[in-house]
Amino acid sequence: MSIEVVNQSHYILIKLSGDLNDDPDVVTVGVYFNKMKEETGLKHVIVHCGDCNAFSSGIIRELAAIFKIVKSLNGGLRLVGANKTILDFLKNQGIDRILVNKLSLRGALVDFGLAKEKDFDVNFINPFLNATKKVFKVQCFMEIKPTKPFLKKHTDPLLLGDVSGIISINSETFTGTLAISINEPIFVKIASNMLGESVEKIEEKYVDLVGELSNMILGQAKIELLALGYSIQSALPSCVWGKDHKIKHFGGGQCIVLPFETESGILYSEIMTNSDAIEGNKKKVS
Amino acid sequence: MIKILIVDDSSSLRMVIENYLKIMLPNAKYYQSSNGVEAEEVLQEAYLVGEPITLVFLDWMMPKLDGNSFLENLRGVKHFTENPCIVMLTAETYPKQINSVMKHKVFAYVTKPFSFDDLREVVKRVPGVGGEISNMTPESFVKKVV
Repeated sequence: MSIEVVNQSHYILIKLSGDLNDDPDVVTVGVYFNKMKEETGLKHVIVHCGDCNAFSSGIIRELAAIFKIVKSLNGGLRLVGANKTILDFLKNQGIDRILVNKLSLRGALVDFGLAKEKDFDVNFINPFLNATKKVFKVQCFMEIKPTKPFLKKHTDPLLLGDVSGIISINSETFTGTLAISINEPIFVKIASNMLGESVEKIEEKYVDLVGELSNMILGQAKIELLALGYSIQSALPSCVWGKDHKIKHFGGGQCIVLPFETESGILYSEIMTNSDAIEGNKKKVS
Repeated sequence: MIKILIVDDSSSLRMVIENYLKIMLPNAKYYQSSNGVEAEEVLQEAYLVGEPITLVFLDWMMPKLDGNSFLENLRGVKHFTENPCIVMLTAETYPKQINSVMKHKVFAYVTKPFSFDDLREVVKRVPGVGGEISNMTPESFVKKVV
C-alpha cells in the first residue's frame, strides 16, 4: 500500500494505491492530511482510488475523520475512480451517499465549484470528427471528408437530413446530444453497403441503422473524450425520419454542426448541449 | 449443426451481422433476439430440446436486459457456465467495461464499427466452428471505398 498527500493549490489530493485491507499504515492518511491542512488552509479533499484494490475499516475511520473536518470548514470530500469492490464495501457500510465517488477528477472539481460544467468544449470536435470518419469507413465502406464546422442557432430546430440517429451524451460535467443526420441518397448508399443488398429508399425497417451509427460514433469518440477527462455514460440511440423532420433541443444550449462531404451529398454530425440538464445536475457539496 | 444466436436491439444491425456470418458459415442455423430476455428464452429452449446454441454474438446496451446482466444470469446456470461461446459485439469501448465483462468467460470482445474481416478473424478461432468457415470472398462486402 502507498499513501501520497499532495497540495494541488485549490484542494488536497490523497492518492491511495494497493490493498488497504488491515494495513496499519492507514492511520498516516489522517496525519498527513492534518499537516497539509494546517499548512495550506485548504478545505476540499479528493481521494484518488484508481490504483486501490480494496478498502478496510481502518481507512474508512480515517476518511470519516477527514470528512468531519472538511465539513466543519464548509468544504467537501470526494472519491475518484473507486472500483466495484470499494463501492460495494461503501454500500455495505451504509456510507456510499456520504463518501461519494466520481468517475473523473473533473467531476469532483465541479462538485466543489472549482471547475465549471462546460457549455461547449471545443476539444469535443476532434474526437467526433475522427469517430465519424472511422465509423463510416469501416461500417459503411464510405470515405467522408470533413468540411468547416459551424454553430447552429438553438432557435433553429431543423435537422438537416432526411433521417437522423440520436443518442444522449451524459457525463458528470457535460450533458447533451449527438445527432447524425443524412439525406436519402446517402442513406440508400450506406444501407446498401452495410446490408450487402440493394436498398432503394428510406424504409422504416432499416432506419435504425442510423441510430446504430450514432451509437458507434459516440462509442469511438468516448475513447478520446476519456483522455480529456470526460467519462461518458452508455445510452440507447433512437431515430427520426421524414422530410424536414424536426427535433426540439431541450435546454437551448449551443449546437455545433460538423458537416462531411460524401459522393452522395453532405451528412451532418451535430453535438448539442443541454443547458437545463446541466443546471439540474448541479449538486450541493456536503 | 452450428447454431448461432445474434443478440442486438437494432434489427437492421442483426441483419448486417447475419449477412456477414452467412457468407462465412452458410450451413449454420441462425437465430435473432432483440434483448437479453429474448436471448435467454432462445438459449433455454434450444437447450431443452437438445439442440444447444453454439455461438452467441452479444450487444451490451439493450432494453429490458443488457448484455452484461444477461451474462451474469447465463454463467450462473450450471449447464451454461462454459457454453455457449460468447462474442461481445458492442459500441462500449471503455477498458474497465471490457475487463468486467471478460470475467464472464467471454471468448472475444469486438467493438463497433466492425468489418467482415474483424468477424472472420474471431469466428476462425472459435473451437468447433472455425474449421467450418467458407473461403468465399464476399463480393457485396468488398470495400467500395471511394
